[in-house]
Amino acid sequence: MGRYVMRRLVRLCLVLFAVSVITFVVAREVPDQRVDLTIAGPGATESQLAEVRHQWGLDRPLPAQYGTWLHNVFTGDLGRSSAFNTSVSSLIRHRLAVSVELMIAAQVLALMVAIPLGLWAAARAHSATDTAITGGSLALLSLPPVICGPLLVWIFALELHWLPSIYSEVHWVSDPWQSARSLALPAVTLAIALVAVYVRLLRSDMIRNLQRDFIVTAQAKGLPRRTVLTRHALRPSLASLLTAAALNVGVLVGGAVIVEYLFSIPGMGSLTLEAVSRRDLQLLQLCIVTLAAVVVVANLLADVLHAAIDPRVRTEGPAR
Amino acid sequence: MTGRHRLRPIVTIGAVVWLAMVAFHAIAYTALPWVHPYAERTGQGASNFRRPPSWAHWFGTDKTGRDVFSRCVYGARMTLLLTVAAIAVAIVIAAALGIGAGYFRGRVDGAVSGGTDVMLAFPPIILLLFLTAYFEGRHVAGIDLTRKWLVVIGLIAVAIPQLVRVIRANTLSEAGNDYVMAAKAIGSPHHRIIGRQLLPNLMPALITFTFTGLSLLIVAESGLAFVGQSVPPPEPTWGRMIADGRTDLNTLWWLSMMPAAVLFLTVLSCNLVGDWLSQRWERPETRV
Repeated sequence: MGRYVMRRLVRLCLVLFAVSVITFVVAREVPDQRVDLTIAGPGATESQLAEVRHQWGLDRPLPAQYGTWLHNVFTGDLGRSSAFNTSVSSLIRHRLAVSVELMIAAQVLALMVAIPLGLWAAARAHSATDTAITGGSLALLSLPPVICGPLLVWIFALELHWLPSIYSEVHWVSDPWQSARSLALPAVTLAIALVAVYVRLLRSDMIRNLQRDFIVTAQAKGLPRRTVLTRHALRPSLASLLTAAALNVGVLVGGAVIVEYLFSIPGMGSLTLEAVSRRDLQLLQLCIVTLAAVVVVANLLADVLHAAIDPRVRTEGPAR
Repeated sequence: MTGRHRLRPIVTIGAVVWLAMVAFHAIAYTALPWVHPYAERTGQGASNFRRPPSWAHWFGTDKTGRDVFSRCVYGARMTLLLTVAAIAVAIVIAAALGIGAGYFRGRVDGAVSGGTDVMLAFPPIILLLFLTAYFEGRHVAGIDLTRKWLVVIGLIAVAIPQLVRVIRANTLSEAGNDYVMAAKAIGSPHHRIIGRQLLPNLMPALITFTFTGLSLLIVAESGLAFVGQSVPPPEPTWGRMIADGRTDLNTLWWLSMMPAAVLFLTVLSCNLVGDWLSQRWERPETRV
């Protein structure tokens, strides 16, 4: 187990290193965003520019600059953002907390809906119920946030007036009801496509499990069907479901960009978009690396979780 | 085994008909009288503003009197142009990489898998934002990188790692079969085994991936357009039409919901066709 986790950890570091190098080099090499021009301001002479470059270490070779950048990332000293007029590291910390809260809400919601539905469909495989659930999940799969976001806003916020259409920043400790209300539509929007993925996965996995010998044994012992389904068939499938949940964090991050834009949520996704529209390309690079790190760490968690539950994985390498 | 199989053909035929209709409108839009009277490019020319869907304006008109149906057709043209071009290129590159990795394994597999791991660390829309933000207006290899080019390149980059992953998995299971072993035993060269044995057997999977990948790319492009970073106006795209209309949802619901419905039906059709193909050819791992 220890060796397996180490192997995955090394891979994670390599992927993150590659992501940060690629984005760093691109961000430094873009001609119209030269850092020295931004700092010195328009109309600076060539000698002034050279001085700025020297002062900020921009005349040093790229690998040395990357080293300094990496050091700053690890010490949390990323300077101030001129566009946002705050410290960059605290900006990213706050925005990330909001996004993570949203993603956890969506993930929990998706699992809570998908597990009973998948169980039900698998228990009645090939019946009318199953057809309705699998057909419905295929429809949900075709409802990305771009479509279901505005649709849900229209129905639940504008027509029915049940929920607010704009996110209000209240902490869930001080006012849990308001916080839940303002998170409801964004979280549901994010969760919908995930529900479809999880239902399909759980259903096919459980149908496979239900044909195994240990199910026949359990049924032969005379256990009630309910117990066989939840205790014997669902348990092994939960492992692959949790893995899928962690692997889908990438989908979640992508969806969060759309959802945060739609509901004006001050999270990482909207920060990324603001960095794009304000042409703050250094900040954009940090956003991209942060989001990639979220995805990669979630994938690592998926692998470790899977290995912890299923010993076969540790020796054979991760399931692809 | 009952309801599912009676309903299935009807639904699948519906999906194929819808895709054919969208493609026909996208290609032949200039010759279609029900698209053309209102629009050269923007859909402008209707005399009525803010009209709900009616016989004259199937999808209604917007605040400046543009016919929403005509704009949806132009949006279809743009979306399909970008995504179909991207998937066509991506499937060829991904097939080469995925089959190579799955067949040769070892170092080749290590390099390909490492590369896809890095690319998969970027969520699709982040990868697209990265490319459009940093490379717009630059010249690479004689190509003037306009937004349109960058979106196509970005979509190719989004599709490749996902496609490589599933193609590699399929190749791995296919290459373990006896007929590949037999071909190796009689001394067939690699290119012959790949070209004559593996590729024909992987063809069904590749065709299925083309449809599931297309739905993935349509979703990615509409997401990028939704946040205003795809092809710039006045060129209409479905994603931006939805985003633009959302401020008037309580009065002019059709501005957002009509393109949303068109987008939904198109993505659903791609998924249905992909799902049907994968069941027909009994491929377990066909979801991109």
